[in-house]
Amino acid sequence: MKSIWKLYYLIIPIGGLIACGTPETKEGEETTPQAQVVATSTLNGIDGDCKAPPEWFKGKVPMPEPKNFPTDNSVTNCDFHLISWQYFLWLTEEVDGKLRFMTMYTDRAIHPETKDDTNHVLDIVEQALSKGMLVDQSGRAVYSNIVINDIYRDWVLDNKLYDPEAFLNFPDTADFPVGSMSLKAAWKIVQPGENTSHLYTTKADIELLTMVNGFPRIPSENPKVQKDVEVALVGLHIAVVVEGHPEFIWATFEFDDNAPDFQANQTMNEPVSDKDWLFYAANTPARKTNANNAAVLAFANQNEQTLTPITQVARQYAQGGGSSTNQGNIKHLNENVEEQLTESSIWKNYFEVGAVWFNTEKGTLKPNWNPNVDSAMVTGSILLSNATIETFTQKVRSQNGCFSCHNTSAVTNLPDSIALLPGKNANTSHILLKNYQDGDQVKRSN
Amino acid sequence: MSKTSLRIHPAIGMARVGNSTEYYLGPETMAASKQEGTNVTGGLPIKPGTESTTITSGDLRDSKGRLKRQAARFKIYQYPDEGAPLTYPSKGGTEVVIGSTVDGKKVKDIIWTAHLANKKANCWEIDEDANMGIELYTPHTVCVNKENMSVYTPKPLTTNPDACGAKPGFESMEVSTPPLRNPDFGSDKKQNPYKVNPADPERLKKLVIDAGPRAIKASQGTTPVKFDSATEASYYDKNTKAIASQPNYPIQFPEQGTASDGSDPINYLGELLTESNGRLLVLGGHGLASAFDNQGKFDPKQPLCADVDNNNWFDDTSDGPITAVLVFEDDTQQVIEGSAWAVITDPAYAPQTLNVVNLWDDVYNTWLEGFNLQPEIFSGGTYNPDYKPYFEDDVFPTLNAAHMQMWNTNLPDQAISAHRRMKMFTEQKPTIDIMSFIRNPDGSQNNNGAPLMPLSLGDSNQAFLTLSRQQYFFMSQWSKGMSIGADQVPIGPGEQLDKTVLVNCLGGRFSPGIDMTFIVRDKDLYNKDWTNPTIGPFRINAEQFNYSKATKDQPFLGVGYTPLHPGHPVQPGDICKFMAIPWHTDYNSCATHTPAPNPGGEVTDQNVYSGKVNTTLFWSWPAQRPVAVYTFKDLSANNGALPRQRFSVRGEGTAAKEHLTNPGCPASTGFDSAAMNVGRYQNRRDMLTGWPMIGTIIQGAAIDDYPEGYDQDYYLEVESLYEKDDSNLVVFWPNVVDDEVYPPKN
Repeated sequence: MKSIWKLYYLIIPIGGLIACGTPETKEGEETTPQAQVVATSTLNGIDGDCKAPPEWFKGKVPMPEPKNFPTDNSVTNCDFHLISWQYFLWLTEEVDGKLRFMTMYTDRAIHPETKDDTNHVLDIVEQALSKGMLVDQSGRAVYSNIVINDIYRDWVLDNKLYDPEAFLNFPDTADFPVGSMSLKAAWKIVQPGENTSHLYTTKADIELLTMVNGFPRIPSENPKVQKDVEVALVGLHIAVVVEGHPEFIWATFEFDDNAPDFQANQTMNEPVSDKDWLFYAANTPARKTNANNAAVLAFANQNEQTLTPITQVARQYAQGGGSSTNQGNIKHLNENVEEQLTESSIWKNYFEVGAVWFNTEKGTLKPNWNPNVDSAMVTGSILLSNATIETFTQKVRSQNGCFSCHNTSAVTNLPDSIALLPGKNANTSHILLKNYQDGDQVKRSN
Repeated sequence: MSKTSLRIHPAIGMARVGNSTEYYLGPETMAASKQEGTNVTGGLPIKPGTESTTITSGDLRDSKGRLKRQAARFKIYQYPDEGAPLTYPSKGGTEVVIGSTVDGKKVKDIIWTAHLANKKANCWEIDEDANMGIELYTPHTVCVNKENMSVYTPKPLTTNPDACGAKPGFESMEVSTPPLRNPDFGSDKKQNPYKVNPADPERLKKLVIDAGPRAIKASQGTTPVKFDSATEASYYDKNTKAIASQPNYPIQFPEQGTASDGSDPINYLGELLTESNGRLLVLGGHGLASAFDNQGKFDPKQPLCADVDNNNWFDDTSDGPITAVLVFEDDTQQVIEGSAWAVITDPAYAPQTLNVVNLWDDVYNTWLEGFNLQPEIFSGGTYNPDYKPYFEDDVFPTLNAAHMQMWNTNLPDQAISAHRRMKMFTEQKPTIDIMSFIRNPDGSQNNNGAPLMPLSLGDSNQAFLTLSRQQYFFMSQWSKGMSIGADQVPIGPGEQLDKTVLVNCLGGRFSPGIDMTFIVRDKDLYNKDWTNPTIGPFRINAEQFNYSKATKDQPFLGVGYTPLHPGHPVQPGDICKFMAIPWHTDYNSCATHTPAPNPGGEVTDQNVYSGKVNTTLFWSWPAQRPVAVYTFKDLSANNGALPRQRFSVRGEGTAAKEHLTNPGCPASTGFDSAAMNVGRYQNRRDMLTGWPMIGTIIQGAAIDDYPEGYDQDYYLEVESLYEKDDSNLVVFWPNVVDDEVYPPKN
C-alpha cells in the first residue's frame, strides 16, 4: 500500500502542472526529477480486438498512468475502455482488507478540517436529479457513497475551492488536473441467507431512513447510523481525468446479474427478460421497469427499513450505446478480462457497462457547455447510465448520459442568498457544486 | 382641419366566454407585473362599474356558480398635434369620455358599432398532420386519394407534382391553402377538400354564424344590444348621422334544436353595453358548441374526432370590428376614422400568469420587422447592435414569465429555484451566460430541449418553442450589459392598452393557440397605413362595408381574409375562424405532449426505447391552459405550506387511459399511453360540459379570506367546481410516455 501511494504521488503533480497552469499545485513535488520519468502508455488498444494486457493479471494490477494516456491520433476507442478497466481492477484490489477505493477519501475531504476523512458511511439513497430511490427486491434502498482520490482532493484544497467565494471566482477555464478521480459506488443490503457468492460483500455503516417531508429519506441533520451492515457492491462509477481529457472519462461498472438489457426494438408491454435478476423480477414488462418512485415512495415497514414499491430495473442502452465499434470493444474487452481473471476473482462477475469522453478533434471542454445543446464531441457510450445509480433518468432524453448532468453549465438553482455560479470547467464535479450550494444533491434544470 | 387625431384603444380587445350572463372587465394591467400601491400583481380582470378595481376570487362566478364572462372594454383617446407621419410609440394621448373636450367641442355622446361573426366552420383546417402553420398558405403540392378523398401533405413543402409518387392511389394537386373544413357539407359523397369552394353561397349561408352589425348609443347604453337572432341589425349611418336599423341584414345562426350531451343551440354571440362615461363593453357568448349534420340540421350525435378541426360543429366565439363616432354638444359629429377589433375567445383560467412568449411578442415582432415601427431597433433587415433595451419592459417580463410557470406546471424543485433566480436579475449585466440557456430563434436549435428555454412545445414544424426574435435580441443585448434600467418605455396610455391586452394573451405555439393564431405574423392582416395619425399601429385591416346594401336572401360576408393572399381585407369572423372548432377540444388536449415534430420521428412501439425519439412530455400553453396547480383548499389544509399539485382538469372522466377512443370516431392507431393522456378528459366531448368547472389561478393576495400569515405571492387555484379529484397524481417533470400513472389523493 505504502509503495503504491508513493508512486502515485510522484505522478500527480505533473498532471497538475501540465493540465492546469492557473490553479495552485503542490509546491516542490512537480520538480522532482523522478516524477517526470513516467512510463509510456501501455494501453495500445486495438479497435475490433480490444484486449487487456496479460500483465494486469499477473500479480498486482499496474497503477494506471493517466499522464501517459495517448493524446495523438493513435488513440483508439479501445484505449478509453482499457484504462477504465485498468482503473476498475486497480481500485478493487484489496489493500489492508479493504478495496483500494474504500481506502481513499470521502467527499468531505475537500474541507481542510476533514481532509483526511476516509471513513466511508453509505449516505446516499436518493438518485441524482430524479429523486427516485432504487428499491431492491427485498424492499431495501440501494445505497451509494462518493469517493475521491488525493489528486482531486489536493487540487480542491490547494485552490480553496471548498470556499464558495473562491470557487465563484475561480477561473472558468481551469481544468481538473490529470489523475483527478471521483467515484460513486452502489451497494445492496445483503439479506439473511442471500446467496452472494458472486458479489463482492463487505461490512459498512449505513445511514437510516426516516420520514422527511412525507417521504422516506435520509435526514440531512443527524441521521441514525447502523454499523457493520453487510452490503454487496453492485455498481461503481469511475470518473478520471487523463491527459488531454479534462472532461473526465466517465466509466461505469456493474455486477453481471443486476438487470437485463432492453432487447432490440424493445416494446413497452413485452418483458425484458424471462429470468430473475438481482433487481428485476422475471417477465416484468419494460413499461414497469425504471419507474421513478419519487412521488409514491413509502415505507413498507420503517423499523425494517423496507420500502414500497419495489423497483424493477432494466438497462435501456446496452454498453451505453454509441457506435458499433464502441459497443463491440466493450463486449470484447469484458469477455477478455473475464477470461484472464483468475477463477477465484470475484471481479469476473462484474462488467464495464461503458465509458464516455470527448473526441477532442471535434471539441474540447469549455465553460457553458451542455451536451444537449452541442453533442458533437461526445463519444464512446453516449447514452451511458449505471442501472443502479441512474436507474430512472435512463428514459429521459435530456438526462440519459453522464454529461447531461456533469457539464460546464452555469448553476442557477440556488437559494436566493447564494450568487449564481457561472459556467466553469470545474462544474463537471458535483462534489464542488454540492458544496457550493451548501445543500443537497446538485440538481441541474434539465 | 382638426389637428387632433382620435383612435380607439385597445387596437385589439379580448373578450372571453363564460356560461354566466354576468361579466367582469378584461385586465388592463400586464400579467405578473408589479403594480404601484398594492402587492397584487397585474393581469387581474376589473370589477364592472369601476375604473380599475381588480376582482377577487368571489367575483369569478355568479351566485349560481356559473363562470362569468370577460368583457372587452374599448376607450377613445385623442392625440393633439401629433403631426404626420406618426412615429411609435406615441408619447401622449388622453382619454375621451362623455364630457371631454376635443378641439374645443364638448362630447355629449358616443355611438359605437360592432359586428360579430364566427366563420370557423367555413375556414381551412389548421391541418394537424401537416403541422406547418401559415406555410400551408403558400403554393405547395398535396396528395389526394381519389377513392376516399383522404389527403396528406408531403414535407418539406414542395411544388413538385411528383411528390405523391410513393403512395399508390394518391394524386397530386398544387394548392395554396390547407384543406377546407366541412368539405362534405351539403353532399352525400366525400369531396376533395381542396376543390370545395368556400365562396359557395350555401356554405356562406349555413356554415357562417353572422350576427351582423349592432350599434349602441352611450347615452342609452345600459340596455344591452344583443348579437342574437331576435335583435335587428343596426349600424351608424354616415348619411343620416344616426343609428340605422337594417331589417334586411341576413342574420345567420345555426339551425336550432334541443340541447343534448354538450351540443347546444347557438342563437347568440354576445352583446354591447356602454359605461356611463361612454366606453364600450363587448361581451361574447356562453361557451357553447353546437353540432350539425351535412345539411345543417342540429344534430347532437356528431362525434368529436379531432383536437382542432372537427367537422359538423360550431361554437359561439366570434370577432369583428369596432368603430365609433363622437357626438358633440353642438350636435356636430366626428367619425373616428380607424377601427379597433374585438376578439372573443376561451376563458382566462390563469389571468396573472404571464406567457413566456405572449401575443404581444408576436404582434410586435411583425410590426418591428415588417412595418419599420421602430427603426432605432430594427431597420434594413437587422436589429441595431447599439440599441439598448429597457430592462423592465423588454427583458424582465420574459424572465419573470419563466418564474411564473411554476404555478401552472409540474416543475421539479430545481427548476422552480432556478426560475426564481431569473426574476432577481436587474439591468446589470448578468453574471452568468444567460444566453446559453435560451433557444436561438434562428432555427438552429429547434430540436434541442433542456437546458434550452422555453421548454414548451414548439410552433408549427418546431419541436420546441423559441422566444420571438426581438425578445431574443433584447435579452442578448442585456446579457452584454446593454440595457437601460430605471426608465420605462415612453408610451401613452392608449398604446399601452394596445400592448397590455396582447401581453395577457398567448403567443408562440400557434397550433393554433387560444386567442389568435399565426395570422398575427402576416403583414396583410394589418392596416398598413399606420403612420396616419387617425389609424395608428396594430390595427386590423378591416374591410369597409356598406350595410345599407344588405339583403335577406344573400349572405353578407364572404370568404374574407386569407393568410398570405394579399387583397383580402379582414371581415368579421376572420380572426377566430383559424382557431379550433370547437375550442373546447383543443383546450382539453393541450396539457402535455411529446414534441411534434419529434426530432427522431414519430414514437412507435418499436422505437420508444431506442433513444432516437424524444419520449418526454412537455407543456403546450401552461400559462393560458394550466396543467398542474396548487389549490387554495389544499394549501389551507396544509396550513399555508405549498401542497402537492393537482391537475387543473380533474373531473369525472379524466383518469388517464391509453388508446383513447372517442365515441363515434375511428380507433386511434398511433402510439398512445396513459401517461400521454393525463390532465384532460379522456372523451373530448366531456370538455363541452366540463369547462365551466375548471378553477382559476389567482394570487393569494386576491383571494377572499386569504389568511394573512400565508404567502401573499402564491398563485393558487380557486373556484374549481370539481369536488372530487378523479384524475391522476401529479408527478413532477420530467414525465415520459411510459410513466406509471397513479390515482390522485383526495
